[in-house]
Amino acid sequence: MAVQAASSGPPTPAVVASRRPGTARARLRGLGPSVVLLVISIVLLYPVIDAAVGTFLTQGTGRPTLGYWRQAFAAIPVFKDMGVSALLAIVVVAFVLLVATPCGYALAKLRFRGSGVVFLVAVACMMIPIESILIPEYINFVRLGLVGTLWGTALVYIGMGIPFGVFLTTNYFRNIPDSLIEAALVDGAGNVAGFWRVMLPLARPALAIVAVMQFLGVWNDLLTALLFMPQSVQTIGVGLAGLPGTHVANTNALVAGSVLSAVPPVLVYLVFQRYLISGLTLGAEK
Amino acid sequence: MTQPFSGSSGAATFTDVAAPEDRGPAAEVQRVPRRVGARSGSSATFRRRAQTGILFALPATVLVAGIMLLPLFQAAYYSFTTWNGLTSTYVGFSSYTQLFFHTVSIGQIVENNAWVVLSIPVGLALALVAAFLTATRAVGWKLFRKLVFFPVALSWVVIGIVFGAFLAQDGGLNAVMRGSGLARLTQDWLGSPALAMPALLVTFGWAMFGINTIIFISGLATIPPDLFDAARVDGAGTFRVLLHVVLPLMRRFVGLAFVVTLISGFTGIFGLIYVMTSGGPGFSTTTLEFQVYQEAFSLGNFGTAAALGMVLFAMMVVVTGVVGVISGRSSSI
Repeated sequence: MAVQAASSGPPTPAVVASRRPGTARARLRGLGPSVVLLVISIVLLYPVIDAAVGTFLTQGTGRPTLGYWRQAFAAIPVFKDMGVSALLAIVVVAFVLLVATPCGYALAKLRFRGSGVVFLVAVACMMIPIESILIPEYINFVRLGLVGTLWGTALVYIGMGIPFGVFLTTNYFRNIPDSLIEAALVDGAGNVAGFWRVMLPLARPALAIVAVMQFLGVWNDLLTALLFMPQSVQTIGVGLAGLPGTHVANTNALVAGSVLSAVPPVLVYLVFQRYLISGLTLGAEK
Repeated sequence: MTQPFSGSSGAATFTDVAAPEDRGPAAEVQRVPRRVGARSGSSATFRRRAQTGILFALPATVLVAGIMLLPLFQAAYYSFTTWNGLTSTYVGFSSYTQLFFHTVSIGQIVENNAWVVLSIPVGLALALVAAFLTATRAVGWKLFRKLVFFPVALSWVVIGIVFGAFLAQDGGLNAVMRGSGLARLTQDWLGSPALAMPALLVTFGWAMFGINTIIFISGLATIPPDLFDAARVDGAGTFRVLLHVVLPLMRRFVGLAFVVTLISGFTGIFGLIYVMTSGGPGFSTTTLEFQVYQEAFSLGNFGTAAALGMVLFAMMVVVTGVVGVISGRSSSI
């Protein structure tokens, strides 16, 4: 019921109005939280900005230079590797959403005998240290002829990504009031139609979160790509991690490569953050 | 919790489905195989719903079974063998005893994991304060909300490279300290056995701060504003509102943030450690997770690595279960 009550309020989490009109002193005190937030922002951003600026300055003298960036580009095929990462990530995101969302819906709203166990297994799988299962996984995939292929690598990521997708969508669907789907069912829609027409549009924020987390997970992974990708095609993560072993041992060149490789995931984050942030609160407001 | 259809004979409500313990006669009838369209409309609806549910859950379950559970069981089996990746010989618990009684550094490694656990409440407290401040709609709170999540987009490798440079002898932190009269305290933060683990934990906390803040912001949004107004009217100050109104209502979200951070710290930061310190100096930043990698990929002791992986997995399951019960999540499973 509290859930419905919130919908009449403002669309943003207006929780405590600490700012009050009044004396200058009160107004100044009202700025206190902003100052704290500003300090936190600076602490959060400074190391990254400092490192990024450093890639344009010659070590020691501090003169502007593009040398470190040239070194990074000379050492690895940056754009090809980023393309490979992007393709891999998109394939994985699509399949995880396709498979995990119906499962999450079933575990939340179409419960069957054993659905609780399936949910617990999904949660438990999120706790498996990847290092400990990668070797048996590798041997299984060699037997299936899937090692050294893009699809094989994608399959590993998909399997590893589904538990989180199931966990998140299950929790999200649970928070959507049953009355909504009941209304659809009374209108004559079946369980499948109820899922497509009613639940899926409502779950868009949850799907966005799963999609972004999966994309970032694949883009940022190192070990799985190292083991399962073909020798001739590598992800940007593997390319970067290989840099210290080449002639490009300079830290600034390494940071330059890192900064560049972080651009696509940051863009993805910026584009989807509307969903990510307002999405996390939508379930409570609608 | 109104059940608009609970009195009618035709439609089973979702409340029935969601709460198995409330199942009445309908659940009993369900066990009897009967064609769709038989007398009891409610049991047919219920069964159809369960069938659709199984169908919906099947692809995910199969994929997870093949890609996560199968290798997990294989690893469990191999933890009782000496295994070089090709042939395995059964040796019982030898890998486990070897791990805990004959690994010189195991005490240090376990201690490092304890430090990871102890650092989490500090990070969560900071994130909770930041979330609460955005909820006060302080000037610039929208911009802050955009900024704070940003480290989530960075990989552990990138974070490790950036902070490795930042914390080095000639790095940004020491430059700031020289600029503010703390030149005597400057040092190679990752080069000292005493400071490397704290430095790693600060980096880890930095990286997790955004996601925890966002979890708490979304949690705060579920609290009805009236509650805050009521507390305000009662004369409660900001800190007391935070402690006595927000925190109790946020238990589930605090539990979620704790588990998310713990799972990352125990099983997800291999890349960070690898890039920043490679577990050193000595074993001063080697965690159980990093040791799994060392045993498997550097030393070729797959059996020991598998045993350690099992121990780590068991720890995660137990801790998550305990936190789940404490924070009241178990009631929703």
